[in-house]
Amino acid sequence: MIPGVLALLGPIGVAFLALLRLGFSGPLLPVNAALSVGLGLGTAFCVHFLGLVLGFAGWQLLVADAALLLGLAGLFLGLVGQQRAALALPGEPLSAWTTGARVIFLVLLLGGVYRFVLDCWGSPHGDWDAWAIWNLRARFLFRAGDSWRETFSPFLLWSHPDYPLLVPVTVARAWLHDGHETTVIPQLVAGLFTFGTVGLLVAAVTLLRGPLQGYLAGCVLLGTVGFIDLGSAQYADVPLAYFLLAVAVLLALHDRQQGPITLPVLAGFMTGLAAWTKNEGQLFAIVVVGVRVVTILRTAGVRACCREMGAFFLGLLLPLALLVSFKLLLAPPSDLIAAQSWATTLPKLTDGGRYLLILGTFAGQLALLGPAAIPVLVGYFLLLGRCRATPLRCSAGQLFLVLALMLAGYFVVYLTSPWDNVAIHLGTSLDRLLLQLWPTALFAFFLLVASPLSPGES
Amino acid sequence: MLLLFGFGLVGALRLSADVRPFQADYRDREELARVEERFTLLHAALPQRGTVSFLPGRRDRPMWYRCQYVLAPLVLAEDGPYPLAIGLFDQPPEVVLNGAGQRLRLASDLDGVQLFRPEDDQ
Repeated sequence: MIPGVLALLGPIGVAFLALLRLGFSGPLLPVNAALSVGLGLGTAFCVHFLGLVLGFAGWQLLVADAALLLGLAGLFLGLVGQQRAALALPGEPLSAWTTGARVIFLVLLLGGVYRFVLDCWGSPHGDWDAWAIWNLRARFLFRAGDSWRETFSPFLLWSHPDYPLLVPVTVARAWLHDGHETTVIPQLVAGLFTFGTVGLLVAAVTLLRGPLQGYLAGCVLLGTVGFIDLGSAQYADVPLAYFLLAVAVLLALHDRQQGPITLPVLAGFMTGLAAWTKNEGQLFAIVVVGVRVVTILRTAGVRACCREMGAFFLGLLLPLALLVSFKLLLAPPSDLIAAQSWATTLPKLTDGGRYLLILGTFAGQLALLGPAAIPVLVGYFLLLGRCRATPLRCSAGQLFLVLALMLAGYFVVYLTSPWDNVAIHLGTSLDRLLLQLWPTALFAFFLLVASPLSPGES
Repeated sequence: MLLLFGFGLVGALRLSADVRPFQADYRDREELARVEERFTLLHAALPQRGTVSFLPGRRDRPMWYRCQYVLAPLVLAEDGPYPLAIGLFDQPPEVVLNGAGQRLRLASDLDGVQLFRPEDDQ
């Protein structure tokens, strides 16, 4: 089991060192630690998938995998000069409230870890979609050797072979390094992303708004019933939530810092990894690029837009190129798209009852998320008001726009759903889709809301 | 602030009070374990990879998916034309037809999961 665990932790360590080099040090160190999870596992995924596509298998794949990763790390550390961290912590005074918030957060974190471990003990293979889709694909990739393309067999369409491969390849890669299958690996991958999301949220809000806001954000996420369970279910929804949050954090840091192009490059890379985690990540990539382009054009002009988007697409390039080749050469068409035709889609678009059903379910699920997290946060916002810092309010506004457009996209997907009964489609997936967006929504909320220690900010 | 701490603590308490992970039917745990165990015997009679026909007599889709998970990377082709077939019949017939119309005879029945082979092979 140890080689498998090291196969996961090794790239994370390399990513941590690379981010240190890029200036994620000092006050940015906690954000660095949380970002390294996705950056490391995502880079390892790209390298391993490239090896698979190029025809490497077994020990060849292991050697190519390790050599490429070490080569990339050496090249990076050799070529990139040490950059200095430019961000400073907001000067929030330490108070008894902050200490109390830290204690409550740690208690909730321990509770979350306990529940996660309990879930893994109770269901080592994960919940339904974990073994029927994600771990099934990982087994094909690991067990089939050079016949791994069998996983796209037309007889397996029920297991959605069009779904992106970041999670299964990450699991299969660790199994390959380990030499045998163990349920600990997918559990560890799930744990890294689940608690990486919590850590990233707390670290980023702490950096941008102070420790009290950071711990409060962490408490709300850990108190959201369903988040830890969804993580321990070994689905790809929580890894996707992690990458969406990572992009949001990197872009908010860039808005605050307006410095080197490193942050948009990293945001582009993380966007590509989100697109490789679930198909919803591809919608996110389109939405985030659109919102970003419009915002920068309005506020900073064409030149700044070209500079930032150039850097963003530089980061997006490798995962996007791999994804396009996967979609064109390996994956069958998505059932949600392949089933569309004028004859079947038009009646759905003109069915008023369908709109009402979907809107009603969205409203009900949003009200029940947590449960009742949104009404609690609205009450909190009404009591405290907005923060004063304009750049943070702008970042939060952009993120809320991205989230609203994502919800609109999900609405269209349900509206045109090929399922015979859209209520069942909604009932089996909408809660997970909302939880994918939840950490990013909390990040945007805690950027926007005034701190309880700074009354009169509104 | 107390509102948010209260929200977090109530959520954590709800999770702590949830006893579902201790239950045998939690996330299909026992069923998957049973299928893994049942197929240990069948594995030896099956090829390591490739495709076999799958005849889900009782149209039990969850069982079909569990079988696929356990037998991967062997592909189970529903009503496929392949000469080796796995069946899920409550009352297994002695002879079945695969997707190509080939007659297959029952070779073994392991706790509700059957293996069929071409008549000529037996």
